Amino acid sequence: MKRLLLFFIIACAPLLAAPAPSRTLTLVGSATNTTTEGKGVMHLTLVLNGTQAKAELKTDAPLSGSGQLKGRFIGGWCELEGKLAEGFTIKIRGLLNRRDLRGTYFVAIPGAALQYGKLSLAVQPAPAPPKTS
Amino acid sequence: MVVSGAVFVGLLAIPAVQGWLLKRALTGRPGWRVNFDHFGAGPSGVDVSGLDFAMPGVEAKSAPIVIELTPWRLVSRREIRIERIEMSKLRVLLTPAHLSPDDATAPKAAKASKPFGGVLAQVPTTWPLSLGTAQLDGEIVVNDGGRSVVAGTFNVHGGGVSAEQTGALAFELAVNSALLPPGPANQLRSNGTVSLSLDAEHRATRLTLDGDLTLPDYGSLVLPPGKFSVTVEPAAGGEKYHAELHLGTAAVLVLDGQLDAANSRLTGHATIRADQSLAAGLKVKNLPAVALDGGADFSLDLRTGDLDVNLAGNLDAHDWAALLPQLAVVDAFKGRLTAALTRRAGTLSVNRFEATLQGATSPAIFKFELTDPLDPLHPPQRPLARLTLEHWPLHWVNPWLAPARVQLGPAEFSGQWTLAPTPALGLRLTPVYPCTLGPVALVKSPVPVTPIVNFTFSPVAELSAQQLSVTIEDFIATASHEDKVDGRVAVAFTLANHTLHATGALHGTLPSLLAGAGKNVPFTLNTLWDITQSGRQLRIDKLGFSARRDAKVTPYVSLRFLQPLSLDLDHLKTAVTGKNAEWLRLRFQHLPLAWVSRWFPAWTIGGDVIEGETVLHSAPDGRLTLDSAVPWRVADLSIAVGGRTFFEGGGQMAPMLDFGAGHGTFRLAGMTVESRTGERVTGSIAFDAILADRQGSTAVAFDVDLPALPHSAETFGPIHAVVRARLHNQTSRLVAVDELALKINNRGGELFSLEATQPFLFGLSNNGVFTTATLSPLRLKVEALPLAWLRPWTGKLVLDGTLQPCDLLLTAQFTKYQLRAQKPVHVRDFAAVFDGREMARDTEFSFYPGLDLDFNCVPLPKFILAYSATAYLTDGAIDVGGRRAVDLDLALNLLGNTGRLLPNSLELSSRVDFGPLSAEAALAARGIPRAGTLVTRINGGLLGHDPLEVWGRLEGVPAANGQGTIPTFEFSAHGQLSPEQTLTADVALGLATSPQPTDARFEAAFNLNQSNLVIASGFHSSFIDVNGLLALVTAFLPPAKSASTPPPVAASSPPKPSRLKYTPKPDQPLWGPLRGRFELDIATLQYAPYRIDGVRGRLDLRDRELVLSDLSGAMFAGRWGGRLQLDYRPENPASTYEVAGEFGIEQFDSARVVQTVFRNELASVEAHLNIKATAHSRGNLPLDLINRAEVTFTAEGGPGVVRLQVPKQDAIATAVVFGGSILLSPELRALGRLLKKFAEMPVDTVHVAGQRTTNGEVTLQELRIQSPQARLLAHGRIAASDEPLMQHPLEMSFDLAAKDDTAVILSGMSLLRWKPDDTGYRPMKEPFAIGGKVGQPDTRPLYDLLAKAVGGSKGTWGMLMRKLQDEVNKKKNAPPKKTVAPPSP
Repeated sequence: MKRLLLFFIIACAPLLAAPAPSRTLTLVGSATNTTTEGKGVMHLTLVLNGTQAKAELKTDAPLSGSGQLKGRFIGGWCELEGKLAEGFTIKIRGLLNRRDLRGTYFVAIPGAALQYGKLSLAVQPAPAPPKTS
Repeated sequence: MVVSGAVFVGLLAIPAVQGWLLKRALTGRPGWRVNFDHFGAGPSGVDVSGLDFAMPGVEAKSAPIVIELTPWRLVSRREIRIERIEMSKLRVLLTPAHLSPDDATAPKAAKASKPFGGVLAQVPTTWPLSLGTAQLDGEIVVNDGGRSVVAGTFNVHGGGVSAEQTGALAFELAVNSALLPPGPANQLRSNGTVSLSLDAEHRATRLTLDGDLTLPDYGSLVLPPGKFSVTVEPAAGGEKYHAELHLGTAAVLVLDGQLDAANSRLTGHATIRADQSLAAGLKVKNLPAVALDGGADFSLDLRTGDLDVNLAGNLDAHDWAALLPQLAVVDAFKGRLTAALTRRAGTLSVNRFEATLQGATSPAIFKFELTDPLDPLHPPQRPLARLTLEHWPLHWVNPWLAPARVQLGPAEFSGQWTLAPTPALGLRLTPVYPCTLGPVALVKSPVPVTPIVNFTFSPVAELSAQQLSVTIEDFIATASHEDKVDGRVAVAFTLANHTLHATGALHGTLPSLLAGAGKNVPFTLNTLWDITQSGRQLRIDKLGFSARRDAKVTPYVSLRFLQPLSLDLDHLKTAVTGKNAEWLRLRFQHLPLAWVSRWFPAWTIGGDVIEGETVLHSAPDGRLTLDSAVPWRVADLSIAVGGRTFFEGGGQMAPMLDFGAGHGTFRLAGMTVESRTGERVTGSIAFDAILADRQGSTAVAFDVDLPALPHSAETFGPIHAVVRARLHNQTSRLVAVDELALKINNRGGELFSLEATQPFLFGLSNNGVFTTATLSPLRLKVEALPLAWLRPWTGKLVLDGTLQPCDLLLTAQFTKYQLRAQKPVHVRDFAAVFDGREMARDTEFSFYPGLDLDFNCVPLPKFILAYSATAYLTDGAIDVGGRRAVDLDLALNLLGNTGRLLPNSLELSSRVDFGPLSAEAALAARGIPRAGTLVTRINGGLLGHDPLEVWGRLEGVPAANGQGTIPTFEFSAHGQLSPEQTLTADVALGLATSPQPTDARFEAAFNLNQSNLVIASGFHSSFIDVNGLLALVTAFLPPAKSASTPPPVAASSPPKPSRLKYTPKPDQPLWGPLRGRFELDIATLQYAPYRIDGVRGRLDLRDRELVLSDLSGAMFAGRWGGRLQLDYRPENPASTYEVAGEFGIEQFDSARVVQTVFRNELASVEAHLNIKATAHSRGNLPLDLINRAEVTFTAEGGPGVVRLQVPKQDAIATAVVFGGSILLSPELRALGRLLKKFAEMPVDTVHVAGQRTTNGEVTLQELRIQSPQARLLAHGRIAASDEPLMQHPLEMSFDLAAKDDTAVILSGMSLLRWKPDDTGYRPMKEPFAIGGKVGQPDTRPLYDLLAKAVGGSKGTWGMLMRKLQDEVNKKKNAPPKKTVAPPSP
């Protein structure tokens, strides 16, 4: 009986443990479509939770592309993919450190050739916590 | 009478009468005419207006002319004094053809003019003349053939001519001529002064003319401004003349002459000299250097015009490369010209003319000589001159042959011709003997077999205004091995209609070319032709060619024109004949092909063209057709290269050509090639052209069956390929490909295909740029291919795995090209074994390839290429054993042109997981750790325009000693690449060592061309944990070949590097590509448990040395310093490195060392020491160098304290002994006093000297401690150990000597000898040993010795203490004795 209880405790320990806190990063910077030679500003709100990553992408004109992305984040390696509101799919891969995310991406537009690009997004400082009276 | 005289005079004074009389006087002569508006003459002068004067060849018109005279001078001095002459706007028109009309008709020979008295004699002396001032201006025009050839202006002013005075008239003259090149400034201009001196009798005594002369440019000839001077002076019997013309310093013409007035004979000598600076004034700068000088003696009879001239001159010419670079090989030449000319009775005769050019260093000679006198105006119709060319080197043409990779050996050309004028001003050159050219040998040639050939031929050349022709009737070319070609050749070019007519016939036997030395010639060659081309019409009267073994058998090859053919080259058709006609027949019959091998070294070609016949027909409308009624068939064809047979089999094709009505079709139909092993290619090529529209199309269709390619049996099996292509020219510059398909199949299906699903264009745009446009992408498909198929060609590398189907699309839009993959390139189950060693297994990789190319190419007229390309490798992944090992994304931008390709920018992100990779044996053997990840990114410019950034992190890598993982390592560099490919960057390194992180910052320059990293900066760090760094380095060292399990290490001890058995043979120094110097600035350098603070110094890194110099810092409260040099000696593989160092610590606190390891331990020796050490080591690895270091050291110090600590047997007993509060035996009380002294014994000096051996053992040669009451002398050893030095085992033998109180105590214990030594110390009778550890010496042997002395027994210190405890216990139980002192509280 004691052994059974011990096994139960061990088996349930991970479930009982407090979940790791997620981090949210705001990144803003330039993105260059090297195929069309277009350049614009890209905004990425990145939520990291362990090795899982989710992001919301917004891109300013002349580039286009906004939507939800998800992927993985392992030891600085960041990989995000998603279908955007404009109807095409984007895949971003790069490395994120304390300062910035730099990498490459490609977009698959239905009926057209793949387009390639690069991005350099700086990590924005976290907003100051709200003052409590 | 008087009246009538007065009337007459009065009439004469009337201007109208004067004018009538003058007209009457002048117009009486034939051709003379004079008109004027007014003519008046009086005693004081003449005035004329509206003058219009004409005489044969001369016409003159003038504005008013004024001549003022001084009549009284005529009366008083009998002198005509002209005070002023003014003639303005005088226009003189000369027509040379009309001058002296009577002279032109009179026979010149018979005419002899009166004697010429000289120039000065022309000044009238009958009426002495003087001139006050003169002012004349006007223009002069020379007409020829009804047009003006010369037009000039002149201005003369001056005067002052009178007896015994030199008058001077200045003149300016500017002349234009239609003979000169047009140009506003292109005039002959001269200005100067004419001076005339008269004596008292008004005789001219000297006439001089000085001035400047500017000659006009004539083409590229721009002569420098000249200065001239002419002097005429009286001489005995006549006059003498001297004239000079200087054209700068480049050319000088000097003439000296003398007039024999009595005989009217002018004799003299003229010289001319010009050097190469004359050419400096030429517009054409690239001329050879030429200098000439010469002279002429002349004699001229002024009455008859008879003339004798003897000319001689020399020429020096060199630097032909200035003319053309290829002429650099041509020799310098020296030339000589001699000639003799006479003119008798109006007839000019060249009696002698000889010109030679002789090579300065070569025997080349050019010679032209008259063999008979020549009347240039009436040349005879017979040979009169000889032209000789001898020994002209043929290799002078080599520079022109160089582009064809052909060079001729030494050979010469010689020939001699007679020159004879022919009717119609022609010239005929007839060889005196046959010209020779030889021996012609190709010393360099792309063709391997070229015999040495000698040519002889006699070219007869006829040049006339109508035709140029060369005829050679005896052409012979011979070589060794009976090679001979002979025949006749004739070429004539008619200038009037530009018709070229060539005839000839040659017969050749060429064993050297067709068979090789000593072998039978396979066939002889015969050819003949008679062809005329006039404009775009070609007429072939005869054209034949045959190759045959001998005359008895049918030719192997024969080409024969059956009847004369006239061809319209524009439309490639013959004249309309209204019937079918056969023109030409080309036939093959058993033509052997083996002779072709002679021309391709290492190739062996066999077989025969066994048959084939092609006939040229014309249709009734003139359309031409080439039909191969009998296909060209090759049998037994074999092709071998380097002894390896590539093909054996046969083939056939049927060339067909159809021309007419501006439309042509060429077809190679029925093409079949079939090997003996069954490989078969069938197909056809057809080319259609509409000449008028410049439209052409081509269709290619081939089917290829390859059942037995090399290694196909064990790999892909029989192959079938299909090629289909159709294209036409859209415009003159653009080609449209209507169809393109290439498919390669094996039995399993399609392997590879390239297909254009819709037409595409390529060609040149309007601005000449190569352009391509696709409506839909070209599609390249590769089906699944086993990599094992590559095994026959990969040698020792055995590959396995399967390339999954690929689908690539190529799109082009003008100059932009895109290559995209429909799905990733993917290889499954990849494995590689090289030379029996496994390199990879159970591996899978995939990636998306991509290429964006902006390709700007202008091929004509000059090839220009510039392109920008970005190559992509995205979504790259390598999985090993089903686990992701590598993620990779790469975008590399390149810029290029015809000469260079430069990387422009790079975006790279990668993640490497060592865990899966370590499963690959080859990588594991190279030291890849069994876990951990490395992420790296490189972003930025590679040409220096944009910064380049590198960042990476290494984490989770197991430590080599098995103790957890090494600290996370981060590195970053931010810099810029210079045009010289040097990356200068700020580098930051961080290692998350605990409790304090290691960091470093420095600036480095990385030369990408030389692959070395050069630093010249400060090396800054807050903290460096050497153990952490060693852990980082050792984590990537290859594993030991003889693996041994490391001994368990106490958890509390710091991680220490493992002992490595593996000794690599490095091919570069430990510091890799790093070069330069660091100025070290390290706040703390820790090598636990030791640390140095405030490290300063300098690190120099060279190819073969690492030098640490000027080191300083603080260590154990002392001042640390030193120097170290590490030499890299790759030539000594046993120990690649040799290190030598010197270190010292001043005022080093020995207690701190002990307490660093044993925090609560009091040091046995506590003093401030000065330590000096020299170290030397050899090895291949850093740890080798440390472990094998030989060190010699000394330490000097004092004063201080020595503690011979009591063994911790029993604290209470010890306290008793020390305290002495308990009354014990005198011996024990003495021991108590002694122990007090030993517990903290002041010392004056400490001296240590020793050595560390290569195995880590330390020999203490001398330890000497001097205190006021004791002296310790010791020697021994410290055994090698992996532990810190303070924990190394200690074996020491001590000699103790004492004096004063200590000596009394020890003497009381009978431990000392009676006799003191020279210093007053009394040595102990026997030495004692001390063991334990360096930081915790075991003093029990000493105390055992003392115990024996106290107890007088054989007991040890422990036994003594137990006895003492017993005594104490007894004392506690017994009633206290009375003492003099009260008991302790």
